Amino acid sequence: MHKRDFLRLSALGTSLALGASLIGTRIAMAANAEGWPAQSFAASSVDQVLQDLFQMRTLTESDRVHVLVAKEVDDALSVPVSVSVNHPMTDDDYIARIYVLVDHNPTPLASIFHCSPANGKAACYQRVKVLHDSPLRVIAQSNRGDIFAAKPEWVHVVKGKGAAE
Amino acid sequence: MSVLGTLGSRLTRRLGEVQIGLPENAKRGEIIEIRALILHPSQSEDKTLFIEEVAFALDGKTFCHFDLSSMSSANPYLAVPLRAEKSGMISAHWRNSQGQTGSGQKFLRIAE
Repeated sequence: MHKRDFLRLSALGTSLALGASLIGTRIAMAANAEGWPAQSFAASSVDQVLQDLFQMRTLTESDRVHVLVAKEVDDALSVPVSVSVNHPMTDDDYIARIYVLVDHNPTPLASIFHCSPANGKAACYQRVKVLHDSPLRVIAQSNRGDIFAAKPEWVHVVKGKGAAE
Repeated sequence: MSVLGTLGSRLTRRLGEVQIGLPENAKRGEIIEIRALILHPSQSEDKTLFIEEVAFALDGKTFCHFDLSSMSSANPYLAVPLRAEKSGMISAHWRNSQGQTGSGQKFLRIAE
């Protein structure tokens, strides 16, 4: 099943399952969606992730990818990461994916943001776990296959909430 | 129902709730920020329960989505841009690693 179909069906199935609830959120069981990149998320090293995603193509650092993340954090379980990419978002040339990786996490690949020209801008905000001191990498990929990697940002975790020993 | 039962029921209802934040005065053509907070746990030791996917849609048409791992924070708080071309219903749908799904929605009004 295509991911879009899953999302439509899951929303429909959820609504049918619970009826017209006044609560805006509904929970129901649904089949796992295809398309979630299990192999990339299962990789336990950055090299494995890069091999799986980019076949170890040379990642050239680009100053068009801007990353905002604290250099020192005291809550390892919730580290804000803000990304923006200076790139056109037209129908034939746009940023299609933004990857966030934390090298020393047990699962280095934290997220993949899939965007489209409708976004108008290639940017996203999220909160990730950084369980150990680690470089944090952001890689953007255009619909044409061009890859732009931000210079890795080193994040230091103060031994406190959520930090791994 | 006991007091604890009632409390448990309320807590259960909140699990998976999606709160969406939109600008109140968006203009046509402007790039706005859409925020979504999903009330959902994510344990570092337990890789079997976390949000795997969150999709954002306008009037049912998905315009961006996240694939997430167990290294995304609990209660995911996400923000994405959108070029505001028309008023419509913004929704955020999530699916977790156990196949449960949920969603929230809020109407986006664009000034003419």
